[in-house]
Amino acid sequence: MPRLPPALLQRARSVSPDLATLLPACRDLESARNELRWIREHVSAAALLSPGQARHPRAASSFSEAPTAKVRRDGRSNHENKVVSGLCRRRARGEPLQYLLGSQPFGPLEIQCRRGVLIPRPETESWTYALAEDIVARLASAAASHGRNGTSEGKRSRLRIVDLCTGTGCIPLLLYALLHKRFRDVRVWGFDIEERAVRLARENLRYNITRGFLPSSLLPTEHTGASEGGNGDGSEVIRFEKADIFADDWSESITQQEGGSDGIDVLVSNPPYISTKGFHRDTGRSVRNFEPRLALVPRPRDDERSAPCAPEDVFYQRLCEVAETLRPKIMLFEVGDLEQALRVAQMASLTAGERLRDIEIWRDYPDVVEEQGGTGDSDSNGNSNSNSNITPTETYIEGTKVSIKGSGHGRSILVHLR
Amino acid sequence: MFPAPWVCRRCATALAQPLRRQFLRYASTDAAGTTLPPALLQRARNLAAEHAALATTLEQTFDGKAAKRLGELSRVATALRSYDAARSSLAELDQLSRSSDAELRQLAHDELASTHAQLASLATALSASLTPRDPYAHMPCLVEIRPGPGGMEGRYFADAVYKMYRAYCARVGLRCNTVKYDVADGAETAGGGAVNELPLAEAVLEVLDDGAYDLFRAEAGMHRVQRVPATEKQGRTHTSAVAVWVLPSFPAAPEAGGGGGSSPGPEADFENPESDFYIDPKEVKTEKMRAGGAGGQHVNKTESAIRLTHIPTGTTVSMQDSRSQHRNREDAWRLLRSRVAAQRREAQEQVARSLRNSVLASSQITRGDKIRTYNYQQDRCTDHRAGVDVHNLPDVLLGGESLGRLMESARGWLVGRDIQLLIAEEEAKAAAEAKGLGSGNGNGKKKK
Repeated sequence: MPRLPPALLQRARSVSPDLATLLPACRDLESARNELRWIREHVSAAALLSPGQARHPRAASSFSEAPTAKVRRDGRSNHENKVVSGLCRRRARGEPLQYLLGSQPFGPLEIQCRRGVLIPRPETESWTYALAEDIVARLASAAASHGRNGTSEGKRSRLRIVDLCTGTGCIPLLLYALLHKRFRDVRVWGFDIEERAVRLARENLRYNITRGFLPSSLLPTEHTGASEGGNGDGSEVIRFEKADIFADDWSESITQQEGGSDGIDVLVSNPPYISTKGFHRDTGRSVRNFEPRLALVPRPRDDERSAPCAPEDVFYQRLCEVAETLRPKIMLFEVGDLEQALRVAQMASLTAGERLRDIEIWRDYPDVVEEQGGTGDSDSNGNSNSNSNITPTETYIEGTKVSIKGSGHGRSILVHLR
Repeated sequence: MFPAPWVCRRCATALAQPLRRQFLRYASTDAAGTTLPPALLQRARNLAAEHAALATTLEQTFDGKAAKRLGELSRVATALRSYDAARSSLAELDQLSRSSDAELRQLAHDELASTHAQLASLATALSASLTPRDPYAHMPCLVEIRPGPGGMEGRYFADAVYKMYRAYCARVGLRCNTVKYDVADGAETAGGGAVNELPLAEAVLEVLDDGAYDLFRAEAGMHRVQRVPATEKQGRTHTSAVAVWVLPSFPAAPEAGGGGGSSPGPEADFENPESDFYIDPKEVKTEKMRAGGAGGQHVNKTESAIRLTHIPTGTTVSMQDSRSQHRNREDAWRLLRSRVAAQRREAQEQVARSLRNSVLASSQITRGDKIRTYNYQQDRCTDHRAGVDVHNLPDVLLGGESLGRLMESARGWLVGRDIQLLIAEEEAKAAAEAKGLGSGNGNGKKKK
């Protein structure tokens, strides 16, 4: 990490000492300024809430001590300024902003973040949007053909989504928010091995309902809330459970429990995918020091049942196995880079065999067109002459064409199955 | 000759001349005057007749389009009615004042003055009702503030202008939020500008209330500042400028306001290709800020900047103010839509203007013209169009009563200008009709 030029620090200090404090963590003035603004906004918003309601526990407790703080000319009390500086100092030590402020916006939702659970990433948000579009396109067309054939199903109205390694629950919640108007009966399940993550995901569900980001019809009626014990809110429609997906009997139990006769439609996962080497070399300081390693680096598996693979790919292997029993029509897994995407694509095509319809690889921002100049759908023609060094738009795996969409690093792999 | 023993000849000639032209102020809010020009009155009568006809047809059958037109015309009709009433009472009083009874005469005389004043205001109201309402008048707006070309001083003052409008909104009770607030990099020497001013690169303030566009429309233009910057060592006064653009904007949640059928025309829906706000998503290039190195779980970015480029017009919008990339994207799209719509609108107005008689072209205010001066030394703020001076600059900058007065006078001036344009148009039309009477009715321009 290059040293910060003293002139930069000095300039930041002349604006505000807090800005200079933030600079080592943010690395440039622009983002330091943004973060300072967000911290200030958060603190004054928390001050506006009455102490009992303040959702950030730390802020809440400290605000209640100073009910009649002196308000300065810039509209912030001395006490608020102290809180801001405190947060800035913690941020400077590398603590992620999302843990400090307690939340991260994710699409229209606001996802609570807490130590021990991975913070939702903007790339994840991007592909979740793209996936929602894909689900609508695929399953709507499937419904149309069903209707023509005159099968009993007729109009498609049922959608079952399973998210493994759900963490904060951001993916299932956003998918529900985006899709519940398009399908009559959407059910979403999220699973995580970490108890804290499951608790936080349930909390996020409740929080986003009370904030009005998710429909209030999800709120529990009296008996559903009581029946499942601690399971809590919206237990029928959105559900978060603790589960070890490597456990032998797990996938059978979920098929019996939730799948019913038709199985599930979509299997999503953002599993840990960083190699031990990559963890030490490529991750950011705040990620390495503050985010749970459990959610980043897969633990090595010593069971010898399945074919050997790279240690960072073990989850994908297991996900493909799970897919064999759950039989989803669409699978999407987030991956670390393009090489891993290709490895996973190969794995998926081998396990799916005949059932495979097609595979796509999405980059960081699947909706952004990479190339310069021509905008529209010129994937095929206008590309050969322009920059060949960075962006291949298709490749072949096991004889099937795999298209690579979007801009950025290889980020996720989408598999359509029969 | 002169009573004075000796006067310099040059002074004598100068004194003998009438007042020079340059000292006269031509801009005036009294564009419409007391007596309405006949062309305008004729137009009012025509519209009132149409109103009456429509009202009778609507009694029998309901027609949505006609009802809407009726609503538009009712303003004119009521204004004309009260104007006519005032006119007839004036005529009556006139007769009374010529009566033989001295007491009655005196009474009529007193009444006459007040009726005259009333008539003047009614005439203005009538002509205002005749002016076509701005198609965007009912919309919320975006106020863009940018420093003019030149040094840091303009940037600091841009911040002052931004704060001024925000304070104004807070005082008047308009809901506003800051869509974008970009501070320029560099030269942030301590104490630059006045109290708490930051060197602004660009700020966009969204005023969410309906009709805000109408309120702020007169604010667009160059705002000039004359003051001694804090960085100035020798105490010289600097003059710099800040550009303010006012763009119509869409209410944030179009589906939330559903149900109400009163939303007018194609403007109401930006998905409609007819609308000025329509942008083909294919024509927009999206770029995201991409950090080097691995992304995803490897790093924890806190910001998500986005840049949109509308390729046909070359308009770019970049947005990074929110932590939510969803919000940034939506804000960027809204700003882009508003900017493109404003450009299209300007182009349309340009065409309309070139069609019009160019007599009034001088009263057109374009983006480049200065509209207001804030002079710190003289504690004065002047609106150049309405010709209004306000002598409490701190109050203006705090968005107080004085700013309200300035804005109101500018709005009044704008209405006056529109009326003048209308009169010119009507007169031109009447002249054309009179000329074309012999050659048939082929050239009658339809009123829209």
